[in-house]
Amino acid sequence: MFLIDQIFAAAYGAQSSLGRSYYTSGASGPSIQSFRERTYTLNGAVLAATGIADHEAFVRMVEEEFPAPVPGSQPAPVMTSQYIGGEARISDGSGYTHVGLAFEGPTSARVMNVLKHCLGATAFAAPGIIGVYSGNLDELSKAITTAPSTDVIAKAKAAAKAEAIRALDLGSKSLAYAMTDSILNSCGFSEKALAESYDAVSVDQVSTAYSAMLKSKLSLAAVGNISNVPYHATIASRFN
Amino acid sequence: MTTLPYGLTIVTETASLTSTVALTYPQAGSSNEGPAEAGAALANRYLAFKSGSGLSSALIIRNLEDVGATLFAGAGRGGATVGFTAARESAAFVAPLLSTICSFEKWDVKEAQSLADTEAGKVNPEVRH
Repeated sequence: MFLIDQIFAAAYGAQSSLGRSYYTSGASGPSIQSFRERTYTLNGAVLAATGIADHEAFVRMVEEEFPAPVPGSQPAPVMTSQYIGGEARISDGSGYTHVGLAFEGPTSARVMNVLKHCLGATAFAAPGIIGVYSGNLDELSKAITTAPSTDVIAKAKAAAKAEAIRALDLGSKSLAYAMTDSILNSCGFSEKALAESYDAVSVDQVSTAYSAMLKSKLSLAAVGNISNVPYHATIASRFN
Repeated sequence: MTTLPYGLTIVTETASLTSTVALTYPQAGSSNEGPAEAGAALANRYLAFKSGSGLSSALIIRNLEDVGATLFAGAGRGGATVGFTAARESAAFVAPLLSTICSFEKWDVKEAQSLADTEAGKVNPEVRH
C-alpha cells in the first residue's frame, strides 16, 4: 500500500490531488463538509442493485424516496492531475527493499488489464498508470523491456477476461461493484458482454499501448533499504 | 438501466439470491480533493451512515440492521461507495437510507477525523504521530 502511494506520488507529483495519498490525516471539519457537499451528489452517481425482481418498481421507489438534487445542478467537477513521471524515495531502515516502476497507461480499462497480464505476476494497473513492483530491479526491468509476443497477448487476454468474469461469480456485493464499473467504463456487466469486451481487444491495440507505455516518462518508487537502488536517470536509461 | 433526469444512473439485475444495493459517487475519491481538502475523502468514508436528513445515526443503522442488512462503505482515489447487502424482499424498503444528506453533527465529524487519522497513521508511516 505504501509503495503504491509512493508510485502515485512519483507519477503525478506528491502535492497533486492524484499523487497525494488517500490515507492523509489532518482534514479539517470545514474541508470535510465542503468536500462532501461538492462530491456526494446524486447527479453523476450510480446506484447498482442486485437481486431486484422488478427494475421499474425499483426506479419508481428511487424517484419517490431519494432526494432529487436542485434542478439544474451539475455533477461534481473533476480535478485533473497530469502524468509527469519522476521519483519518490523513502528510507525507513527496515532492511527490506521495495521498488516499483510505473509508466503512463492506456486510457482503455480493457487494454490496460490485458497489458498488465502481459507484464507478469508482479504487475499492477491503477487508473492512469501501469507498472511492476518487487525487490529485484533486474527482474522488473526484464518484465518491462520484454515486448509481448502474439502468444503472450493471447494468454493475457484470456487471463484478464477470466479475472473479470470471476468477479461476477464472487457474490452479490462483488456483482454490484462490477455493475457500477460497467456503467462508469461504458461496457456491459453480463458474462457475455464482459467476454466480448475482452475478445474485442486486438493484438495491435496491446502492442501500441506497450510502445506508448515505454515512451512515457518512468515513475520510480523505492521504499525501505534504498541505499543500493539506483536513481531515476540510471534506471530510466534501461528503457530508452 | 435507467438514468433519471437529474443524472442518477440506476442499474439492477434479477438473479442474485441476496440483494446488494451500492451507491457510488465517482467524484468523491481523494483524486478530487482540492488543495485545502487533503484527507477529506478518507474522513468522509467514516461519515457513512451518520446522522442526516432528520435521522440519527442510531436510527439509520437500526433500520438497516433490523432487516438483517450488512453495511459497507469504501473509498479511495477514484470514488466512494456506500451500500448494504440484505434479503431480496427488504432491499428496496431500506435503500433510501443510503441517500441521507449528512448533517455534520460535531460528534460525528470529530469521530470521523479521529478514525481517519488513526487509519492514515497505520498505512502511511510519514504521518504517524
